[in-house]
Amino acid sequence: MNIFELLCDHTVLVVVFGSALLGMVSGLLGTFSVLRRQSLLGDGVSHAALPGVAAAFLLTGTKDSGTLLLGALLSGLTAAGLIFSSVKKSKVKFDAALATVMSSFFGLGTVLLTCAQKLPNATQAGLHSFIYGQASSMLERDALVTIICGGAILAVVLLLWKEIKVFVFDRDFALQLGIPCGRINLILSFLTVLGVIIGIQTVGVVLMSAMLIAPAAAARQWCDKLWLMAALSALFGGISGAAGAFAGALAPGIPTGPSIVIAASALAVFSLLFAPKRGVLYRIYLRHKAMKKEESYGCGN
Amino acid sequence: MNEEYAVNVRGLTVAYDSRAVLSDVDIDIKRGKITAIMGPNGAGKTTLLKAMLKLIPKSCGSVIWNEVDGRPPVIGYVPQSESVDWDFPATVWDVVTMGCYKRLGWIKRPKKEDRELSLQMLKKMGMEKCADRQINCLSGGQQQRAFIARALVQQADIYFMDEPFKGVDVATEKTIVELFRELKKEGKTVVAVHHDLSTAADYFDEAVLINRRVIMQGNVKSALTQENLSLTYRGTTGGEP
Repeated sequence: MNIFELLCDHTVLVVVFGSALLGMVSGLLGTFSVLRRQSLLGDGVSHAALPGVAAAFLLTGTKDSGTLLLGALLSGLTAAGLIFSSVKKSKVKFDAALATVMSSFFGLGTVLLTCAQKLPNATQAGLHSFIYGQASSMLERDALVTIICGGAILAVVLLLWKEIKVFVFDRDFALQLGIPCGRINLILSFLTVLGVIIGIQTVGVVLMSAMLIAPAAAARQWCDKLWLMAALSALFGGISGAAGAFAGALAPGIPTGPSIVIAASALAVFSLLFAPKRGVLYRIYLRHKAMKKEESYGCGN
Repeated sequence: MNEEYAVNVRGLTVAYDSRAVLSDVDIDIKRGKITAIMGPNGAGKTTLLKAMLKLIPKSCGSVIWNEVDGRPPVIGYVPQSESVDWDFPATVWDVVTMGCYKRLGWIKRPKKEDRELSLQMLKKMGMEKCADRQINCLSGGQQQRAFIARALVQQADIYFMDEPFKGVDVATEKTIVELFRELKKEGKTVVAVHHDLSTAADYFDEAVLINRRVIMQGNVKSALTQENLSLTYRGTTGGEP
């Protein structure tokens, strides 16, 4: 197929549109994850979603993606709840709690998945696509789920914008203002889990966290306002989603999920290197200039 | 309770993991005065402020806020400036306008009078030229000024400041001291954690010496005696009770 034909293909358009939308949602949510230094929460949640997918299949025998994703959502929320409550109730640090919960859930998921594979209708269910994702299997229904969830996430973020902003920047001050920080934290975490879950079918549980972090890390390099960072991050995520989905459609056999992640990472690397003010090259240039100045003073003496 | 005090603290105890950081603290903060909270590192100064403001839970005791003109007092808060990540994507203006978020409802953006107030408070702190500046390129003194301007936008009756003089330049220190005098003239109450014994008597009216419990409180000159200071600061290197 050439590019023109691809653009007219309905199925391809659905996949590209759905992936772009997904990228935008995770880019938006990633802004807060990165600024709250909880970048890995998405990673933990996405890995922890696997046993939910397998259990939903084992219990219902259906391969309906709605049911499987509901299972994923429940197990992702359970994992997030376990991580936060163990940090709160014991002296375990966030990273340790996250690593433990993530690997044990992923281990359980792998075991359940192996059991599920032995069932007669399992090979057709495409359960394995949840590990590395399979955007090309995206149907209009899946895209619709992304639109609804994405719209809800955007609405909540806009509605609570001020509260989220002051909460992320200065929690003590937010509390003193009377902002219910516990609830804002809960809402933000829930939105992140939701954003991750709607993405795992496309990008896969292993790579999903990159969709949260890479666009946000790239966006931070270019701007100095929270709303700009969130908008840019959503834009970068959307571009990566569309680009990766196109690559997958253009050359069958290229996995879409990993292509999306590669596109997002390329944007992040480019931004880290070349962004003005914060970019690596600009800083090297500044240092060079400062050294030159010193040298010229030396000559003057 | 009465007109003389802005806030009364009774039997306040705060414990982390069954280890008491503050025990049985009774403090009376005089209305319209500038009060210093002093004590060695680990004495529980920040904990006292946070517990009074309900930012952390207390084990027991009570904090009684006395009404101002028949309404509960509005409280302004300046956290320690190193408690936040200054690499957050925001300008000075963004930070200062956060002070009016409580008055605004959901979704609502700062109105004209909020913006005017924010600008006025930035000017008061000599920061109006930095309004559009990124907060990650501020000096320590400018960070502190931005935080104080944000608290002023809260238009409070009582201001709580956690180490406002820490890491600031001489000019900023002077600006803050002038602000204290101005606030006092307006009848406001200021409570600040302070470290420098040599300036305490100049900057403050009242002092509360604490080290896990109240050692002494009262007029700054009568409280800061050699005897009280050695009681407060003795054997404190390890912070043991």
